[in-house]
Amino acid sequence: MKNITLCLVLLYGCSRTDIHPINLNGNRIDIIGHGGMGIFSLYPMNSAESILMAVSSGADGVEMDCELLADGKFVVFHDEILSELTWYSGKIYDMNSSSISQVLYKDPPLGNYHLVLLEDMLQALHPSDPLVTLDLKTFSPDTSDAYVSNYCVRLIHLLKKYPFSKVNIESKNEKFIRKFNQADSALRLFWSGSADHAFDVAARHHLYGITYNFQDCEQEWIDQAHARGLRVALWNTQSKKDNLNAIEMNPDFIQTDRLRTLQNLLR
Amino acid sequence: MFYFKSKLVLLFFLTGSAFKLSGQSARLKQQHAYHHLVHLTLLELSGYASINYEGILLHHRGLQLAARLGLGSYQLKDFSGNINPNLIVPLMVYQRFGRQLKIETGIGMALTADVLFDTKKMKAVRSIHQTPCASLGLVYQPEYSQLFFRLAYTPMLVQNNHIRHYGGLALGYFLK
Repeated sequence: MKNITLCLVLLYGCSRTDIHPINLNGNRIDIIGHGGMGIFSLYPMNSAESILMAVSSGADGVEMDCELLADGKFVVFHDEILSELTWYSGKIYDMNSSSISQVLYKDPPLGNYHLVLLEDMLQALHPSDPLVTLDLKTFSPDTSDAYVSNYCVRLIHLLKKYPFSKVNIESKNEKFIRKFNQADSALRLFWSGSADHAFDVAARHHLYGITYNFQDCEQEWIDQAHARGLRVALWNTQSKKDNLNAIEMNPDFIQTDRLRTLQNLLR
Repeated sequence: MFYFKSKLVLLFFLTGSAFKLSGQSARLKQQHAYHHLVHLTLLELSGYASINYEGILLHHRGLQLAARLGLGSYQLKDFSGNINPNLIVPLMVYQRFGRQLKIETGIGMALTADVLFDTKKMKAVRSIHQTPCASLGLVYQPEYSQLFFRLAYTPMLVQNNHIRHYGGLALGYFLK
């Protein structure tokens, strides 16, 4: 009987992962749903249903891609070209908000999930106050100061209209990073561009953190980032093994495509 | 869309009338005894899977006419975690011609009742849509057997008059 008990204890102990992260996020890793429930979900990434499902299933936050439309509203959408993911053609930044709700995602077959405006998404999320991560898509060929200022002003206005406790803003465009920093230095800005320039950009603009692709990231980068006072968000974990390995790197946030798996590991 | 539908209907009847099977074999007589078909379909017009009933409306010299009604789903819970399944109802009319191995053509639609997030009401609502579709398949009914196998290509007419190429397979059982 004692031997059986010992075996059970060892088995149970071996199957659990004891996790004690050490990072700049109060030694906890926030679980962020990548585009909502991630790429493996039945709901299309960045659809309202995927994002709301991530929040209702207990994620600490959600990551959403956003792009500025022709009429000054923001849409939650990942790509530049519409035809990859939807039955429409053309570029996303040429669309107007009035036609966005008509655009259906291709998948799943017989599904009728449509694009959603960022304002509607923020309004829907506001009561539950999750951590909101906005990945700024800046596909427009217009890179003038006027365009960048317009983008920045409109997004900040939206975030003030629907205030959240924690909002992370990611961009791989330094021009946009600079403009957001000038507009509001309290914003939690992340550099999500080339890892080679990450520390330089972060130093120039006093960034809150850096976002790395987990598949390319090295432990040394995270350690150096933390030493510089920079939080680290890892994205692109697509399996239990990825999530486990990401956890062991002690990031502050993990944007995962396997939300439930990560929740099981961390909780 | 009308152009697509009219061509489909024309193809449906032309392929049916192009076949003439003379004489009555014992196998055909045996098949004519069955007027009902139940089958489980994977993918195709079903979501992941659907349960279907087909009424065999007509048997005539190897030509079979059938009407299908099914029920399928992708998921049982909605995005809020409540039990609130999305439903897919295939409605199709088929004609099949052959003996053991039949060529099948069909037209119809898939009715879907999705649970979506309504950004005006800020809540989950059920929304009904219809997707016209066609079917081109191979049906195998073993000799003197009530079993039914189908492999089908099922193009669907989706938004902006795009054709979505899809397909699936079915396993069923004929009943008298």
